[in-house]
Amino acid sequence: MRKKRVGIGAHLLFLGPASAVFIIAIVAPFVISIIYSFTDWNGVSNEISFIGFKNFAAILNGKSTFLESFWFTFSITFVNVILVVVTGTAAAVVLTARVPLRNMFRLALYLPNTIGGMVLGFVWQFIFVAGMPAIGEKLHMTFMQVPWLGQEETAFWALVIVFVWQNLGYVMVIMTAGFTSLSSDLLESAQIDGANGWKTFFHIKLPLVMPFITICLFWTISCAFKMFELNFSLTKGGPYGSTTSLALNIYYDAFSNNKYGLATAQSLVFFLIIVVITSVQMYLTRRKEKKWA
Amino acid sequence: MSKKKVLAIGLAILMSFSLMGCGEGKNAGDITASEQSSDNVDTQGENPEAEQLESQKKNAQIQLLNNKIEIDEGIKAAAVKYQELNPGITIEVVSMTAEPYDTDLKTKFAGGAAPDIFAVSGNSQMLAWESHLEDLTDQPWVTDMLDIGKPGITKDGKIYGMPICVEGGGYMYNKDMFEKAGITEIPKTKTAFKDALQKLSDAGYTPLIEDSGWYGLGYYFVNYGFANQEEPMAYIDGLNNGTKTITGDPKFTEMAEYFLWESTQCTNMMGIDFNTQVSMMANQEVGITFGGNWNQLTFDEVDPDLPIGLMPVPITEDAEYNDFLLAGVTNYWVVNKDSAVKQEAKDFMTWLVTDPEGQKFITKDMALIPAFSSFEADNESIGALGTDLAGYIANGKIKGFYASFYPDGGTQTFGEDMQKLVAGKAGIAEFLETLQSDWERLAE
Repeated sequence: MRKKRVGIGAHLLFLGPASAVFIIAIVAPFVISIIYSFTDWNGVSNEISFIGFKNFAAILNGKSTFLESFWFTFSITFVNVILVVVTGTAAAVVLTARVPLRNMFRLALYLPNTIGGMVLGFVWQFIFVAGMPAIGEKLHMTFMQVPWLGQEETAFWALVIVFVWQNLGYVMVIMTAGFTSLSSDLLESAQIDGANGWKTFFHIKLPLVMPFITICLFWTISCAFKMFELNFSLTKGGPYGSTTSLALNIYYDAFSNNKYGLATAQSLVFFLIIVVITSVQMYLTRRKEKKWA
Repeated sequence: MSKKKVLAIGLAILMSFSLMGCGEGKNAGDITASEQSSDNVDTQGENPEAEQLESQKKNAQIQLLNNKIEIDEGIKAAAVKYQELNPGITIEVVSMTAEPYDTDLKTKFAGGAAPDIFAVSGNSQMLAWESHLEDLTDQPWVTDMLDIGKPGITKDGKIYGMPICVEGGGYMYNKDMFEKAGITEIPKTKTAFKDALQKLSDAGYTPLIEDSGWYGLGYYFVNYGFANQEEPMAYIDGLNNGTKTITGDPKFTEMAEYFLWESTQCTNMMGIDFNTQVSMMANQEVGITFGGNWNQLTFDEVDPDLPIGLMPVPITEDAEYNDFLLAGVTNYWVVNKDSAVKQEAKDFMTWLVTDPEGQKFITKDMALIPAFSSFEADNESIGALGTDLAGYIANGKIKGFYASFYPDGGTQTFGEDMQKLVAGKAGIAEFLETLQSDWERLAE
């Protein structure tokens, strides 16, 4: 059967609007920012001159703070992804079992995800600056009274705490969907074959929900790597720039340091890094899925 | 094949549209600007476009972008009054805090919705925005500008902005606590200051706190290294052309030694942010902290009779040498040179600082210390901190703010360097070396 040829008019009608929006909102700015990345534009002036690869050289030879913020982002992403996926999955496991008030718990765990990062940051700033020390004082616990946001190590963990608290709800929802979609036949036959709870979990349930874990990993990695609002509102990248994420570093260079050209160059490198990381991760988990499926 | 071609052509057209959009915006601005300048030459009004401009003048809408949220009400009141006096003119005031301001201003310009009057914070911002700024050297108020306001907004002998106010700071101290702790005289040397802290502590008060954020450290504390130079501007030029260094500089060493010592005297040095600092001072929970008259309006909201004063930071043992406050003009109103209503914008600014009615809005409603010799601050409105500051200004015991002469991004970078110093992550020698290398890196 021959397909009826569709005219260009129909193409335009159906694909035109979406393509136009895509081109104007994504492609054009992307191309423009590639152009800017080869200039020394300060973001406001009318004078722009091309400086070749100097911006990219500055990123790699340590003249910008890109490498420091990359290292920070990389390490916090590593910690965040593991903690979010593990706690989110654990929460899903616990809350798919018949525990009392489980809907209440689900709501409580998911709620932080509905609040914007900026608001969360400001709320937690108050908790870390005033709340924790006050509790520590009352309970005589010195570790609570440290300047949470004023030390490199504690500021890092403060960010982790808030990030995990904010995002585990989302992972929990996806994983809950995964666990409830499992066929009861399989679980029943496992039971009949004498598998205990742990064995069922690790050998039956976990392999079957692998596609869901892929989604969660994919989502948390890109989310954690693009971390911005939390750092912006909670630590402002401090103390001494030790918690400046890549996105925040780009923002500072573009808008505070008047180095727009350098910032666009950094964002291109940032883009490439994200592409590489997510494709590697997609490749690996796809392979796992096939193996276990 | 042909489909691909069509798609490619379509893409090309769409993209060139988006590029043209940008180009057109700029051209439009240029045209109105050139029309206005030619407008001065031929005033016959034969030209329909010129007539249109005339009618535009009568019905002008001026947008003002303000980065001092605390004067929002005052400037809006002034705008309302000016609209009454000049029918047809409307002034739209948009205020925000300093932090989102820079970003917002840039996006407004990029989006083609540039304000007609906006604020720039001194030299570095002036240089960044230079190609958008109207030369205001010929304005009537320029002759009355105080000298401390000039360097921050002058380039090649031209004045590009109107100082908003004089601001200044030092240590804010609680007068009641000083009295109860038996401190009868303001400590003017480091030793006397140490004694005062001890007395406050003995009397059961928290003697000293500081905000550990990079802004305060970079803008105020590092500034002492520059302000104490014999000739700060010559020193900064020297840093830029490589004839001077921060490493080993005696004034910087002195500054670093003092603030490192000070941080050890502070309660919870790295755990206090700006809001906590201000609220502790406002609620009389601490004796001394760094601040300035920009805090006054916040204090007034909590307690208009807060017993506070300003005193110098006793960096050395030399009372004479220590005896000054930091003061200067930190923000300027500038006019967008591509604005269609720039003449009206200039008229409004002139009215604000030359007409007694306009001046009253500055001194009373906005409670500012004017940076002009033609009129004076209102002691009742500027509060205790403002009054102390005005006293030091009158006696000439002030030194300037130099953050706007740092390379772009300097305040944050130098502030973070100092955070490392007070957190014990770097020694004094290393701190000064880092300042030097950061200066070179950012100035490039």
